[in-house]
Amino acid sequence: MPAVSHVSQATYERLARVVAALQTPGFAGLPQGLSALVRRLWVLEADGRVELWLLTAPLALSDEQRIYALDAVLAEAFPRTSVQLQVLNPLWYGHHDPASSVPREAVEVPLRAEAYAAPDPPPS
Amino acid sequence: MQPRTRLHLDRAEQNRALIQAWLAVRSSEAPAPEPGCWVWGVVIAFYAALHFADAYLGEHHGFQPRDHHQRREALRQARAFQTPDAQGITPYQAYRTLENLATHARYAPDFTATRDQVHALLHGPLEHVWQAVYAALAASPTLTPRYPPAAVHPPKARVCRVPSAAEAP
Repeated sequence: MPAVSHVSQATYERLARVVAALQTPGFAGLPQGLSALVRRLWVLEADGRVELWLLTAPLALSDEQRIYALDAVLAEAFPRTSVQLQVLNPLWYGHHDPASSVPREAVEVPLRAEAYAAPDPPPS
Repeated sequence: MQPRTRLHLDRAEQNRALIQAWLAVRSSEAPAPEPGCWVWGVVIAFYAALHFADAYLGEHHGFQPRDHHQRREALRQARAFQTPDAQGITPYQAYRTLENLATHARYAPDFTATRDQVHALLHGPLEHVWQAVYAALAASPTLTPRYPPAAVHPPKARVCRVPSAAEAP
């Protein structure tokens, strides 16, 4: 499993469930799921709280609202942690880069579920 | 209806009416709000939704959230906020959209908003929350608010004017 600095192993494993949900066909009422709508994901873990910062493609308001179907997945994946999803839709940032709002301490994580798969065990 | 529920609805309607008043301003009546004001319109839209939500939570669940996290969790599990509309979007998702945008509107200096975007929030997510709450409270969405839009119409001047360099302290 890839090493991610500043993010605990437990959080990283839970993120795998969230990313898998993003790629699930039909999730949030979209045939292809949310994967076509999202671009980058960062996680910030501090003081017992977790924040996810999700940069999307430029989204119409109807699609922007669909992103929050993820909250139910987050609540299941992090049942005893205060977790909040922050969505950055470029349409609200004009010519600015919305990624500049992501806290410096946040760590970018993959948006592909395969990236979270455990490596093969070493040969014995 | 509990007195506090009525107060939350009144405050929500005041906020909603303020946005409606800004949107209604025509250049023939008064200069339109400065472009930067529309960012604040996003925040006002969220606080209208928040008071609608608190009216519902107090009246139906006897719950007064202490913070945004508590409110979010209560709404995520509330039946009235889980029923999707024809587009498959729930009032909870509408509320969260407003909450997220208001957070960035307050803290991100590069966040922008246009009149059309605020108009879309008013008639999209905010109306969705508004309808869900009034339906749950078994009150009509056409209920005459105690503070109709006319009561909070801005004076015939810029409602949010950026001072010129000469006026700045």
